[in-house]
Parts: sequence; structure tokens; C-alpha cells
Amino acid sequence: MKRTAVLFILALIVAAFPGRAASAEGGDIRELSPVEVQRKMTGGTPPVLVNTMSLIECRDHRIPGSECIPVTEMAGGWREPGDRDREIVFYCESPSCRRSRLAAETALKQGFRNAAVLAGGLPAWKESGYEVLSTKRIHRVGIRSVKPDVLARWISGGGTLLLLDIRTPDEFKTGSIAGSINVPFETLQTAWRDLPMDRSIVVIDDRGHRSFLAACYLFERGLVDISRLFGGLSNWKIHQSKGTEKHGSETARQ
Amino acid sequence: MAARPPGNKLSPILLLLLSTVLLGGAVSAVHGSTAPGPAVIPSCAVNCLECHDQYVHREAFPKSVHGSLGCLGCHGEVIDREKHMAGLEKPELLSCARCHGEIAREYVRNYHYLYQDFRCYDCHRDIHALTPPAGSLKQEILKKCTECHANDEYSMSGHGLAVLKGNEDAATCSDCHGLHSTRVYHTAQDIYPAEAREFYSRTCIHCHGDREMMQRHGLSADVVRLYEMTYHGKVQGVGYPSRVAGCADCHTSHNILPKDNPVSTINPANLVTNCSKCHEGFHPRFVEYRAHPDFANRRDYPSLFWTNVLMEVLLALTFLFFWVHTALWWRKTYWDKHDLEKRGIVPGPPVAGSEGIQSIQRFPPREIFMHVILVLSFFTLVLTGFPLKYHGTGWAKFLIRLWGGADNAGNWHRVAALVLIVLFLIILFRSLRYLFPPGAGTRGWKDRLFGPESLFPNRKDWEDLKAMFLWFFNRGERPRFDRWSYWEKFDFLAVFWGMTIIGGSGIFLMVPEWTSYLLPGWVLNIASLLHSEEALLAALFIFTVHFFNTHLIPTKFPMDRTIFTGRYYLREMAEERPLEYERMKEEEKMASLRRDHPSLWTKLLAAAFGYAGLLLGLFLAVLILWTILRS
Repeated sequence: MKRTAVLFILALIVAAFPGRAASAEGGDIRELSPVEVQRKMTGGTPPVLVNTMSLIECRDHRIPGSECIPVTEMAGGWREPGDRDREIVFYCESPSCRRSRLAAETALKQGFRNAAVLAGGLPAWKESGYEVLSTKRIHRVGIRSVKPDVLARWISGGGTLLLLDIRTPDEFKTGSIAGSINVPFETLQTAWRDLPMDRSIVVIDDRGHRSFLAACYLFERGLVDISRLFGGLSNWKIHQSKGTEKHGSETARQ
Repeated sequence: MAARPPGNKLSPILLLLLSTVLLGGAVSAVHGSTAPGPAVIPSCAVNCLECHDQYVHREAFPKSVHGSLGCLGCHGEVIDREKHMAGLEKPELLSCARCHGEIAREYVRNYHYLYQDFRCYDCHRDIHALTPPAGSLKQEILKKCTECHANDEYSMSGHGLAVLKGNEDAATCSDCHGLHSTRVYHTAQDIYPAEAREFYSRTCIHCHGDREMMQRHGLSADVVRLYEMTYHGKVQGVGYPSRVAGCADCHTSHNILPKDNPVSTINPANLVTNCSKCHEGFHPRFVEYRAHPDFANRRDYPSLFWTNVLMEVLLALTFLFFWVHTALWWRKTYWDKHDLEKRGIVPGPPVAGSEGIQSIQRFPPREIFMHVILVLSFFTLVLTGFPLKYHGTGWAKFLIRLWGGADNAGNWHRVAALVLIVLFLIILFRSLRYLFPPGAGTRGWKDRLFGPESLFPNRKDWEDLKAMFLWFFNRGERPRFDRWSYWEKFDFLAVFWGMTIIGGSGIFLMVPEWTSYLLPGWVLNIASLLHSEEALLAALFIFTVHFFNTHLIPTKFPMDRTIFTGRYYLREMAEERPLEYERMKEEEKMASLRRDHPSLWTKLLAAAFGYAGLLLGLFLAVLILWTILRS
């Protein structure tokens, strides 16, 4: 009993001093702030700046001077710089996206010694007040944003719903909404032609940051009955685990 | 094309409205135009309309809010007409930020810009025909946002319905989310719960803390103040909203309805589900807890009302009596000391009478150790608990930051509370063992309870109290005390009362879900009030009355080290506790109490610890009293 009490008090003391948890993933990848990247880009030896998102996204808007190399294409051999010591900075669409880190890890494995990621991704770059470049901008339209409980009702209602999961095949394998099909964003510029025009499409991504642009892209191509999952699959999982009461519904309307 | 960051294209509805008055006037002066009209398009009226003669350019644009700007207000000039007609020269699209700079600065942090790269013209699509909204601006904003974010719950909520009815105080989308400053709080993701919760709670408070606005609509003007008096509100107020319920956690962000509505999250039928979002493992009666009760409202919250009255009376009477007692005692002692000094009388030698003893023991090492632990745990409790009580002050936020955040402070508070509870149980055990010593059974327990070694009050204490007041006014001799004076007994027994109230309520509050299996949720409201007020009583009593009686009274000033060294001069015993002195002599115990003078290191250590505690306590007392007086 005495030992239990001592252990309990010790546990509370330990709990009061939370240690610095080691980074679970890729803790050794260097991060550069937008200011540092901007300074390097205007310096004598600018780094290779790589946009790791899909070509559609990269052409829509990217940091000036960056190359469009989707992370899914890196493993298969990309147009890599010859100098293995040349600094390469990868970035993606949000502070929480994993693409830039995955790309940097791949580059390190391929023998590049100076790989880094842009801290905070593209939003941090924009928030710092720096420009972006558009070469083929997608026209933005009002895309219905559907919350998980509404989508769940739609799914249970049957009908002509097509759940279009635009994550990578690896991400898709880790879990998806039953009945959804996987068309990675990186392949959408060709794969869209195979999509049915007579069905209601719901675009699903990881966290809700990419599905809007994908939906706008499909809308431009005539797939007008389209909506997207608010918050992406991560929000869907929260909804599934906590029930519908936490997240209010957001119904469809265009 | 290098796209410039925010605000570089078209303007928002709000500013466009303003621009008709401000900007329009200013720019029209530049271009030498008058109010927009269908007949004239300044700067490019001749050239552009020759080709761009669609209805929107010829008829709608001159009537729009930007009509006075002309084509060159937003588009760069065409240098080579032939190239332009051949599609080889495109006039530059000028930045909207040239006029709408403030919006551009806000928009650089807008979620839609950062994550979806929305440009001005992506929302303001009808820019060439833009006119001030015919109806309510709030309704126009609602219409624009719901192009993507249609939300039935909002539309059916109190806010939504009121906006649709034309209520200009009710919250439309932009009132909570911002119009051009929509923050990156993607609430579907739990990556910034603290910032999002703080941001949205502040947004709710902005209107619901506006007394005039609330009264205008027959709503409670005190709900924010009352929320800030609860545990949830206090932790949020001290700057750590991540672990406590903000407004939207209970009321949701869009489904905000009165509690009598069956689909409202705060409807009694939905409270178990609602509270389960954060709390788990509780009995259904847990939801009887009131989220922001008004303890001044006797009709709706009688138990809280009377608890509050009880505590206020208790505090008032306790401090009235003891502060007066202390002040009178101080006066009497200071006056007498001055009188002695004036007459050149110095205190006698430390060796008392015929015993030839200098120092004797008052407290054994075990009691010194217990008091040190008591001091440490008490200060930890005060330094971690009071920042919550006075969460709005700068010193509270500073202290919480020193602890490394509200979570850490809370953990230390609980550790210190457990230490104090263990200490209390040891004292309780020793008190019972004193009353009922092994082998003696219950024989003679009353004599021990009311005897001279006991800390329990007896008739003599009452007599001493009266005699003390007479002495204060020079109407009698100072009472002859035994081992424990009446004020020391009060200090001791106050611990029993205090531990019962603070400790009991603290345990309830530490495990509120478990408590619900014993008691209904509203008891937690009472526990919270008792805990807070009793803590104020305890802290102020210790830092003022106890400190003055023990250390700051002129005969002891600046500090009495006895409690830390365990020893004092026999002369002091003879003077201050003559009955004990005589008893010890009579019982021939004096020799066994004899101790060496404390070592230099013992004295230094005692002084360092004692002065640190004394100064910290006095400083905290000043902070607390200053905060109370300012509120």
C-alpha cells in the first residue's frame, strides 16, 4: 500500500514534468523557414526548390523558381540535380502534410546530402508575404462542402454517389471509406476522363486542404455534380470514433 | 504570371460599400469625374468600349461601385492597340491592395488564401457590376459563404434565424469567422485546439459580454462573467484554453439553440452526450452541474446562494475578529515595549532563574519536519491555486507561466494537496492516539482532551480571551497561558475545519466524474465555491493573522525561529507560558527539556527558510488584497 502511494506520487511528479517527446517521424530532416528559403533563393547558389504536390496543384500556384515533382514520382527516378551536395528544399500544401518530408527522406536515401523541408509548407510562405506563381490557374467555383454526418446519411441513402479518394495508393491502403475508389490527385489530369458524368461525386482527401482544388479541376472539365468532404478522411475518422454529436452537419447546396 | 499575395485583385463587399463614399469620392477627384453614371466611363470611355461593348461594361459597370475608377483604375494601360487586339499584349491587372490595403493585410492570414489560394475575384465574381447590397449586408455575407458552406444547423439556430429576419446584431458567418481575416482554425482537425478555442470563445464573448446588446435582445448580460467564475472559465482566462470547455464545446459552433429546444446540445436530454465529449465514466447525475450559475440568484440557485452567504459571513466575521485582535495586541505590545525602552529597562538574561538552563525544547524534530512539509505544501497550493482564482490578473498569468502552464500547475496542486491530506491524517492519528493511548483505552480521555497539553479549547481559553482584551486596554494583567494559547488552538483547529472543507471539496473536484456516483453534479458547483472561498480564508489568515501573531508582533519581530529550531529560551517560556513553566518545574521535567543552543547552521537555515516563507506570504497577501480591492 505504502509502495503504491509512493509510486502514485512519483507518477504525478513525473507527469508534472513532461519531457520533450522525440519526434516520431523524420526528426533529423532539416527545416528552413520561409525567410531562410527566400534569402537562399536570392543568394549566390540558390537551392533546388521542389513542389511535391500534384502537377495540377503545382501549375495552379507554386513558389516562383520551384520545380513540380510530385512525391509519387521521386522513387521512380526524377530529374535530379547532378551535384549530390546541392541543397534541395521540398515543400507541400500545409504545415501538417507529409509529402515534403517523405520526399526529403527519399532524397537522402538516394544519396543527396543536403535535403531540407520548408517549415509550414506553402501557407507559411504565403503568410510571410511572398509571391506565388500561377502558370495554369484553375477557376475557383462554389463547391459544396459536406460534413461527415451528412456524407454518412448520403451513403446510407444509396443513389448514384461516387466517393473519389484522391490520396496516394499507400495512404488509401491505410484505410478508406467503404465503397470509395482511389484516383490519386497526381493522376487526375488523365484519369478524370474515366469518371462518370452522371454520378454525384464527393472528393475525399487526407485533411480537407486539397479536395477543393481537385473538385474545381473536375468542375472545369464538366463534372458539375461535385462536392467535397469537409476536413477530409481525418475528419471522417473523428466522426466515426466520436459519433455524430461532435460535428454539426453541413448540408449540400450550390 | 507572378501572382501577388492577398488583396491583389478585387475588393470585398464591405469595403466596396465604403468605397462608394470614401474611395469613390477620392478617386473621382483624381480622375475629375463626378458620381458614376451610365453616360461616362472615365479614362477609357472612348477606346475600351469600342471593342469591349458588352452590356456589363457599357451599362452595368458605370453604375457599379467602381464605376468612377474607369478601366484604368484596375487595368493597366494598353500601349500598342494592334498588339492588344491580336492578343499579344495584355494590360496588367492592378492590385486591389492599392486601394484596399487594410483588407490586404488581413487577408494574408485568411484560410482561403493560404490553403486554397482564393483571390479577390474568386469571391467577388461580379466585380464589374458590383453595387451595394439592396438589403442586409449580413444576409449578403451569409449568401456568399453558403455557396460552399451551406449549413442547415446555423440557418435554424438563433443566430441564423435572426440574421434572416434582418437582425443587425445577430452573428452572421463573418462575425465569428472573420470576413477577410478568416483564420486558419480548421476545427475539423485537432492540431490547434487551444488557439481555435480561445479565438472562438473570444468571439462569443465579444457580443455576449456586451451588456447593452444583450439587454437589447432580452438575453443575460452576465453569462460571460459567470462563465469566467467557473473552473472552465478560469483555466481559459489564465491563458490555457486547450484542456477546458470553451463556449462552442458545449453550445457547438452552429447548432446554438435555447436549452428548451429538443435538438439543442444543452437540452437536458442531450447533456449526457454533450458532456461526454470531454468527460467519461460519470453517472448521469453528473450533468446536473451548472455550467455558469449565478450564485447571487436566490430563486434559481438557492443552494449556491446560501453557500455563498455562509462563506462571506464566515470570512467577514473571522477577519473582523482576528484583525481587530491582532491590531489591539500589536498596539499594546508596541506601546509597552516603547515604555520599557524609554525607561531604559532591558530584557533579562536568557538564563532563567535558578535552573541554569538557557534553551529548552518546544517542538520535537518530528513536529518541525511536519511543519516544514506543511509550509511547502501550503505555499505550493496557494501558488498554483490562486492564479486560477484571480485568473484575469497579470500576476496570475505570470505565476502559471512559471509553473510551465495550467496543466503542470494543476498537477502540482494535486500533489501538494495529497501531501497535505497525508499530513492531516497523521495529525488526526496522533491526536486520537494522544486521547486514547495504547493500553489505556478510553480511561481518562476527557481529562486529556481538556488538559493543559491538549490543543482542544476549554473554559480557561474563554477566560484567557476575555482577559487578553482587558489587557489590550490596560484593564488587567496579561493572561497566564499554559502550553497552548487560545489563538494557537484556533490555528490548530482551523486546520481540521479547513482540511474538511478544502480537502473534501478538492477531492470532489479532482475526480468530478467519480463524485457523481455519490452526489449530484450541482454539488460540484458548491464544492467549487467552498474550495475557492475557504482557500481565500486560509491563505489570508495564515499570511496576516498567523504571521503577525507569531512573527511580526513587536516582541518577536521580525521572526520567531522556534518552529524551525524547535528551541527557545527558558526565560521566554517563563514569561509567555508561566503555567507550563511552573508545571514543568513541579513535574521535574525541566531537565529532560533542556537542549543546547541551536548551532549556527541550524539558525541560518531556519532564518533562510523562515524569512523566505514570511516574505513570500506577505507579498502574496498584498497581491490578493490588492486584487480584491481593485475588483
